[in-house]
Formats: sequence, structure tokens, C-alpha cells
Amino acid sequence: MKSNKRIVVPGTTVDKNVRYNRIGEYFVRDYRGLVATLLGVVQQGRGGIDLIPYKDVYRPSRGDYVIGVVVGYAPNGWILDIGSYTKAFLPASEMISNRRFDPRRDELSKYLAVGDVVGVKISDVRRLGYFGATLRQSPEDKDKRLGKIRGYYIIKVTTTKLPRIIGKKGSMIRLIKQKIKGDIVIAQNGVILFKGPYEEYLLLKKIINLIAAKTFASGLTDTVAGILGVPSPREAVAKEASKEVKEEKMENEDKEVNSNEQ
Amino acid sequence: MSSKKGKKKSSDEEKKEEFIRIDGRKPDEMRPYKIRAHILRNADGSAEIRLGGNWIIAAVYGPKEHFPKFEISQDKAILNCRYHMTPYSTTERKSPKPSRREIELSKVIKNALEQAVVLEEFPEMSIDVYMEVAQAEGSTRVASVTAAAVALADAGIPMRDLVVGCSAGKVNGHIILDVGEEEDKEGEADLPIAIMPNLRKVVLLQMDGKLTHEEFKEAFDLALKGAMELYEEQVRALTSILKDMEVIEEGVKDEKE
Repeated sequence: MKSNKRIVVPGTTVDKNVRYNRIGEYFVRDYRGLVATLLGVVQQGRGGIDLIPYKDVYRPSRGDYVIGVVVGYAPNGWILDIGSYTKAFLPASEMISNRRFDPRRDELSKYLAVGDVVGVKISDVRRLGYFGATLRQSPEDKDKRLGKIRGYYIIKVTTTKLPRIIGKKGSMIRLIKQKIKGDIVIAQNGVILFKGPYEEYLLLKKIINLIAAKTFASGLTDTVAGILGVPSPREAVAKEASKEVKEEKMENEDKEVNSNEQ
Repeated sequence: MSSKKGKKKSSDEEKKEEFIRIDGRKPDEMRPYKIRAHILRNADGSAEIRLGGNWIIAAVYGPKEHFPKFEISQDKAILNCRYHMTPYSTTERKSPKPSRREIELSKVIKNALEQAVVLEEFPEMSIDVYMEVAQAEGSTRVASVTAAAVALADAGIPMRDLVVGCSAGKVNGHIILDVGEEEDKEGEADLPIAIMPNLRKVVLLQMDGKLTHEEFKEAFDLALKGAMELYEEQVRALTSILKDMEVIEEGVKDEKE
């Protein structure tokens, strides 16, 4: 199927007939047909239609790994700002593992104080009220930093830019991790943590800003590879392919030579 | 008789064509306009409009938790609008205190924008829209609505349609488009409207002065024409953000065919 890319603004009728197998978020359906509600790029293909927004409000779903800042105390836990439309609540029992939380004995600020940065997982998303947060680790999130975070540089981006920073099947982030030495953690609310030398942090920040500025451009991995001075995955594949072609040629030539000799 | 009437009509038409406004515009001519989106760094979304001597900056924050808590709505978000004129916006210093007029305009602009924003997506939340008139030269309310809609789109807040406004009026018996400051003060009537162009809905309609039924129709049609002109500028301002990000459209021509 032919790819179809188109810039839309809120209120643009994308299609008068709604005849897709799969319709992405950010659309409303009314008498006008399928209508975009956000500024972005509409892409069509494989029976589905998607809107990649220019900017979006972060709406967490259950199981998301996010990084928040403690902004307040509740009687039995902490209130975290996770950069979404509402805040998250982390129960005190999550930080105290070996016994029950006792509000008379346990001082909340000894565990987490206002201003501390915490990595949490979203455990509960309700229509009303705060999101629930948890520190429970499942076997899949080995590389996620849960709990209090110290000694990291923080870079913030809009959540719509994360898919480009990670890349197709993680190609972009693998490329970045190849060259930049240090610990890079990406949270789903658009916070990127980095631990390592300051120079590497500056380079990482430069690359992330570049990706954020060119979210919709194609061939971004090659551009980033050029800056990092690393052969891009595509080039590597091309090189291998050309090698194979050369080898084939060589074989052919050999055969020709052999045949001539004969 | 009939020939006389015809003669009179033709002279009227000539008069209409000859009528040149105080700032040299034709009756159906807009002032020069320019809209820019994403002009402020710290706000979630922002826009600026220049319409003749008007210069209005709109900024959007949110969605965020609403205070005071007793005001929150369980089924949808609350849209807070603030239309404000800076002390240096007029020729004589204006007191920065919100005046009766500014409170009224904040309300009518809120009513207009509420129709477009998908408020049901954010229950218990509020969205703040600030419109600051840095320089005023007539028809600021419709220019503010136009800038605010662009700022909302820039903030990534879902909307059913953009909102765009334009004004028409009557000066010396002539129906005119895009009323300027002197025309507003000395003219016989002015008619600001705001519409949702794709949904074909009128979301703001006010009138000052007197117009006959026919004159109203003429003025309304003229204002609609101006609004559609401004809508194109809104779309240009928004799409230019993405074009700066090197978006290459594909397959658009095929669709038009």
C-alpha cells in the first residue's frame, strides 16, 4: 500500500468515510467523518490510520515506568509530579519493606523528602483522582531504576518524541549507547536520566535536542550516526550487502577464469 | 419610474465602490494580518496575532488540577480564560485592574472556546488561556479568540475545530469588514463574530449599534468572509511549525485529484 503523510490541524476532516480496520487515538467521529483533534501528521497504511501528534498531554497507562518528583506528603504516602495532567500517589508501605508502616513512628521525609526524584511504575489509572504508583519490580524491568534516584543528569522531552529517540526496535537508542558511555534510562513520561561524564552528557543532550527538533524527518538514524561518528545501521547493512555482491562477483570471475582456462 | 430607480441604484453602486475608509482601505478589505504559533518558551502553548495595529499574545497552560476544589466538574475540564489589556496597550494609560469590559470579554471568549475544546477528556482538570493585548486598535476580542485557538492547538489540547473570529460594521451607511479603532468609536454599528469554520457553527455573536435586517445579513456574510481568510492564516501558522521540523507531505496531491 502506498504510504500517505499529511499535516493536519484540529478540525481537519481526514476522511469522509470511516472505513479503517484500526483507528488510532486523537480522532473524533461526527457527521463530518473522521476528524483530527490535534496538530500533527496523519499516516495511513495497512488498513489503519494514525495521527502522530506534534505535542500531546501525557496520559499514563498501567505498567508505565515514569520518573517523578516528590511535591508533597499525604498522611500515608507521597504525592509525585510525573508531568501528566494529574499527580501520582506513592503509598508509604512501598518504601518500607520489612514491616508495616506506622504513622506514629515513621517519619515520611526520612525516606523521601520534597524535591527528591523517584522512579516508579504506574499501578492504577482511574478516571478521577491521582494515579497509583508502585515500586514493585517484575522480572521484565531489570534495567529500570525504581526508588530514589541520585546522581543522574535529567533531560526532559515531550512524550511524542520518545518513539524517535528509541527508534525502530530500539535502533536509535542502541546507536546512542554504542558511543556514549554511561547509564541511560528512558522513562515513559519523557524524562531521560543519564549518569556519566559531563562531556558525554552534553553530547547526549545535543543529540536528543536534534531528534526532538526533527521528530518527523526521515533518515534520522543516519544523521545521528554521522554526528556520533559511528557507521549507521543502514550503512552497515549496505556494506555487508556490497561485500556479498563483491564476493559473488569474485566467485563469478573465478568461474570465468576457470572456464577460460578450460 | 423604473429607469429612475435603475439610475439611482447604479449611482449607489458607484458610491459603494468609491467609498474609501479612514485608513484607506476598501469596504471589504482586511487590515494586514500575521499569526505566529509557539512564540513563548515557558508556556505549554502560545501564539501571537498582529491584525493592523493590534498585537495580542495568547498563552495556554494545562490541563492541570483545578483549584478551588469545590468548583471542579466531575465530567469535564474547566476552561479559564483571561482577556487582559496591558497598561500600555492604549494611547492613554489603562489601569491594569480587570475592568467590567475585560471581565465580560473573558466570559464571551470562554463560551466561544468551550464549544471547540474536547473538555470531556480531562475530568476534574482545568485549562488556562491567557490573552494579553499588548497593543489595541479595534476588534481585539475576535483577534484574541483567533490567537487563543492557535495557542490551544500548539499546547496539544484536543479540539473539534479551530475557532476564528472577525468583525464587520457600518460606517456612514456603508457596511465594512474588520472594524478599526476610529470606525468602532465613530461608526454606527459593529458586529464581532467567531465561528468554527469546519463545523459551520457560530460561537460568538455580539452587536453594538443598529443594523436593519438586510444590513445585518450583509455584515454577517462579510464577517464570515474575513473569518475564513483568517482561518487560512491560522492553518498556515500551525502547519509552518511542522514544516520547520522538515515534515515532507506525501500523497496529498493524489487525494485532491
